[in-house]
Order: sequence, then C-alpha cells, then structure tokens
Amino acid sequence: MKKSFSLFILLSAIGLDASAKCIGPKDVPGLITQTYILAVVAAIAFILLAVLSANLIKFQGGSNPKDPGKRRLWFWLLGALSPIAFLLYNLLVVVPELCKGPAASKFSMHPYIGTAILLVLYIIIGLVLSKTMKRAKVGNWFPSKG
Amino acid sequence: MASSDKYFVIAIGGTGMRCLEAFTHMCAMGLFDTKEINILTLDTDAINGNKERTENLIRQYNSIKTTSNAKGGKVNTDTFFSAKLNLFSFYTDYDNSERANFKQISQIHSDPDGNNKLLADLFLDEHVQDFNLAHGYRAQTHLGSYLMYHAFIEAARSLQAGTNIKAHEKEFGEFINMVYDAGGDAKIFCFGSVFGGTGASSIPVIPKAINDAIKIRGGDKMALSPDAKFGATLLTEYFSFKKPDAAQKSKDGNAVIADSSFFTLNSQAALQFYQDDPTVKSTYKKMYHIGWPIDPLDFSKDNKDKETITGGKNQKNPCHITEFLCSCAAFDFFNSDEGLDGKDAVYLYKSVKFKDNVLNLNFNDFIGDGKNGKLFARKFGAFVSFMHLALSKNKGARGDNGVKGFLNQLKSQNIHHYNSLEDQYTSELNDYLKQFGYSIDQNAFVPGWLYQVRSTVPGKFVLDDKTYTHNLNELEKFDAGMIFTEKDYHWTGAGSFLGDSYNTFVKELLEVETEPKEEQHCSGTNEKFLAHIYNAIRDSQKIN
Repeated sequence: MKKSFSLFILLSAIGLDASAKCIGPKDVPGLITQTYILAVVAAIAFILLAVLSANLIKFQGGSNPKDPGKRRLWFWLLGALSPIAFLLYNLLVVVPELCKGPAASKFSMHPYIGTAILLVLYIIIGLVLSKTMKRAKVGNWFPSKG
Repeated sequence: MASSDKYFVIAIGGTGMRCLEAFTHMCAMGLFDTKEINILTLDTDAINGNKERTENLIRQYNSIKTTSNAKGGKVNTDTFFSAKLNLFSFYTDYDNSERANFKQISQIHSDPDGNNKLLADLFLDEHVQDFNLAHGYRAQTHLGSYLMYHAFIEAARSLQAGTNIKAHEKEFGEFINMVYDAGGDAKIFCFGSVFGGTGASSIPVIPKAINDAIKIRGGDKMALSPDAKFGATLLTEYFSFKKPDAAQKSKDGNAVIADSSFFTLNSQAALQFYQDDPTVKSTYKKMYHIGWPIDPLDFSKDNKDKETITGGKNQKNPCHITEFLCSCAAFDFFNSDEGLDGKDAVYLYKSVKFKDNVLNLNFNDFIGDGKNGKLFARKFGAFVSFMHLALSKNKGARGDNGVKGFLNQLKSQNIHHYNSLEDQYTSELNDYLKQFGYSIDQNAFVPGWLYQVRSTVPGKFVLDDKTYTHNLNELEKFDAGMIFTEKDYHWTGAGSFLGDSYNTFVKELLEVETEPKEEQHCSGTNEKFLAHIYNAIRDSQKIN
C-alpha cells in the first residue's frame, strides 16, 4: 500500500512537471521541422515494410496467379496505414505537448501537411521503385499494361 | 555426325509407332537439337490406334512450333521442341474388298493354268493366303516382307504413272524424293519389332524397297545413294496379349491371328536371320539389339475384351521402357559416325544390371555416360520439371491451363514479350504435357507416356520415385525442383520452409540472362517462349 502510494506521487509530479514545461511558440518552428523529417522517415520506413511484405509473398501457381494482387493490396494497405499512424501520433502525442494558445494554433496545420507529404512521398517512392525494378516483386505495385 | 547429315525415321507397325512416340518426346525434351527429321509412318492399318495416337502427337508437336511464316517451326538449339519434324504417312491399302488378302492382291486365280497358285502354295499355307490383311501381317513375316515390298513398288508405279495418286502415296513420294535428294548424307533409322508382324516383315526389305521405289519413280534414272546409311532396332519380345480362341479363329478371314506365346520363338528365328542374311548385313550399317529380361507386359491385363485385338482403332497399347531405349538408339545413330564406314552391319547392345528382380536405370543408361549422361539428365529432368510445374503446380492436369500460368506470371512481372501468344497455343502445349506426363479425369489419375514407361521399370527410373507419384494430394504439393535423388541437382530453396522451387524458377524466369539467346535460333514468339522457360529451368537445375 505504501509502495503504490509513493508511485502515484511520483507519476503526478512528472505529470505536473510536463504540463508545466509545455512547448511554447518559440520551439514550434523546430517542432515543425522535426515533424516533416519524421514524415520523410516514416514514408521510407513504410516503403521498406512494403518491400519486405512484397518479397515475403511467394510466386504462386495456377493459370491466374494471385500473388501480384496480394503485393498490390499490401502496398496500398501500408499506404493507408502510414498517414493514419502518423496523424494519430501527432494528434495524440505531439499536439497535447503544445502550450495552448499561439503555439498550438501555429502548429495546428502541420500534422496534416506532414501526413500529406508522407502519403505523397510513399506513393512517389513506391512508383519509382516499381517502375525501376519492373521485373522484381515490387514491380507488381504499379504494373504496366504492356 | 557431319553437319550435312540429313535425318530420316521410318516407324513401322504398332511397336514402331510407340518407339516413334518416345522419339517425339525426346525431341520435345530437346535431345535432337538443331535437327530436321523427316518421319515416315508405315502401317498396314490406316486407322490403327497407336498410329493415330503417335501421328496426332507429332501434329501437336508441330502445331506448338508453327510460326506465322514456318509451318512446323524451324530447328532450334538447346531448348525444348528444338527439332523440326516433317511427318509423312503411308499405309498399304488393304481396307478394300478387292485387296483384303494375299490371293486377291496377287490375283492368283487370274492365271488359267494355275501356275500362280502352285507357286504361292510352295511358300504360303492356304490360310495364310486367305486371312484379312487390314490388321497387319499377324506375325506371318514371310508373307509380310513380300507384301510390304510390293506396296512400295505399287506406290512408286502409281507415282510414276501420275494418275489416280492417293494422298498417302503422294506423301510416300515426297519422302522418297527427300531420301534421294539427301544422297550419301541420308541417315535413315527404322523403328519396329522383330517378333511381331508389320515391323518384323518390313525392316529386312526397307533399304531395297526404298531403292527400287526410287528407281521406278525416277524412270530408272535415279537410285538411292550407296552411301546412304540405314540403322534399325532389333527389338525382341517384351509384351504379350490374350491368346486367340478357336471361336475367334473360325471367323471369316481370321484363321491366322498372332499368338504372343510364340513371340520368343519368333525373336530367336529373327535374330538368326539378321545374323546371317547377306542383304540385311550389306544394307544396314548399325543394328541395335534391345531385349527385355523380365516378364512381358500383358496388354490384355486390364482390358475386358472378349477377343484378341488384332489391330484397328482399338489397338492403343501402353508404352514401355524398351520403346524409349529404341528411340535412344536413334539418338546414337544420328549423333555418332562410329561404325558407319564398314561394309557389313555392326550389331550393338548395352547391358544394364538386373538383380533380384530389380532393374535400376540412371541417366547414364540411355544415350551414354559422361557428357551424354549429363545431357540426358539435364534435358530429361528439365522436361519432367516443366511438366510438373505446368500440370501439378499450375494445376494444368486438373482442367486449368497450366502453361498460361507462366505467361500470366511473366505479364504480371511486366514482361510483355509473349502477349501475342493466344490461349489456343498455351492450351495445346498444356495438352502435350498431359500426354507426356499425366492428366486427372473426374478425380482419377490417367497416366501419360512418362508414367506408363515408369510403370514398366521394376526399380529406379532415373529420378526420385516421388516424381512419379499417382497420389493427387502429393501431386498438388509436388516440388518440381526435387526430382533427382542427387541433392546437388536440387533447385535453390527446394524443400525449405521460406522458399520453394517455384519461387526459384520464377526468379530465374525474370532474369534478363534467361531470355532467349540468338544462338538458340528461335524466330517465332512461341519458340522464344519455350526457350525462355527452358533457360529458366536449366539455370535452376545447376546440372553442368
């Protein structure tokens, strides 16, 4: 009982300390840069995940093999997941850290812009990879009509 | 083997047709690279089941190779279906009420003095002169040789006269013209048995009959080149069938029916003849002894026929390993000049260990060991893998179009070189593979050539036994990269948890290096597609 009471006091103190040190308007430009860098990193990370999943899907037999469709599906699933994850992270983890007022309003648009950048970047990198490595499994993401 | 050699195959009778069937499959495997081979099917029975099956197989082979500007395609190098086959069909016309037996053909009774009859009686029993010839010579080789020679001469006379030429006579004329044109470069190989009827009757007279037919056809200004080289198989008994009963023999024209219980005796007599006959010894260069030390295959075993099948469309007997060995003899004859310079025929054989009723055959036992053994392993293994990839992995045996699966796989990986290939082409190739391997009809396994041949070998047949499984569940999961017992020949990833052979094969297929090369001499899209598949399998196999 004594132990759990001490832990509660410690967590409350950290919480109070965190709210006391919210991100002010001065630190917002740095945070914006960090957000965009994170968007680029996330786009690359999700592309790597898509490459990995494409390669893990084996070539299948049959007169109409289903494996190209599966790779495409996974590419677009990860493509949809990446902006959602990025936006949720920003809205649930980063935004609450901002001091209310000018700091919050100055940052408010950037999670959305970062998300859009991530999505566009993911698609562009995917398209470039798919078109430059047409014969590889990633070539299934954007098949050519021939 | 000189580069100027011209190749001819003559398949005679039911056994000869099945040897030709094996030969066609060897061509599909790519074992007769860069060769154009002219084939004459020769039978007394125009509608014989084995003849029809083999001719259809060759037509299918040619259809698979046909390009927009070359019927039957062209010769290719180091690929599947690399040989070009030209099919000619000739049959002795006995399906006619005026030519149904010896007496009618010879017009014995046209001689008022009866001398013809007396002469015929010297050589032939009365019932031999009377039996219906539509289903062949029924093991009466003395009569058969005479009549087959007569058929050649009759056709040549008809061609020379130039009137009322029948289609099969025309094809015969084209064939002998090609033999004549080839001159001393002609290498002519005959397939047939020595113990039965049509083949046994024809093999001894073929060189002389062709020569005399060319002479007649050319009005005595033409002749077969003395440097033309003949080879043949001396295939002794290896199958049996239901013994004819008295009731069947009592029917009109059926007094003589081949009895397989005499096949051993027939074989012995024939071998004595081939050993001594001066005409055979001087006209043939190489003769290949092929025998079967094990109990003969009973063709009537699973049939419910009440009577002995003497021929006709019902004679569709399964294939046997000895027929495959005959086609391997043709490989040797066409690819080796050793022993062709002699005056007399050379008799060849190769023995295989048979102990405790087990006969194990490996890839060194067919067309030679060393380099040839590896060649056989590569080509035979590649075609069997191709068959399993298309039929087992891509479900081509279950009604799906397995070959189209490769095409669609290439398309989905953005390789569009073969988009112009139509469904009819992939379907024909798939059907060919079914005839080679197996098919599944209403959930029942139907063996094709390979499985029929395998079932006649009491031991190992080149590849791992699992390769020949009949179990439908095992076939569905079969790994085409693990057909050899030699682990060095297993494909990368074969049998592993993460990868599989099909993955390896498709990866190879997508490599630029496996695209058809100029030196493979493939002109049509269909030939290029086959070469691409072949290259991918060859690179997956790693048999050097």
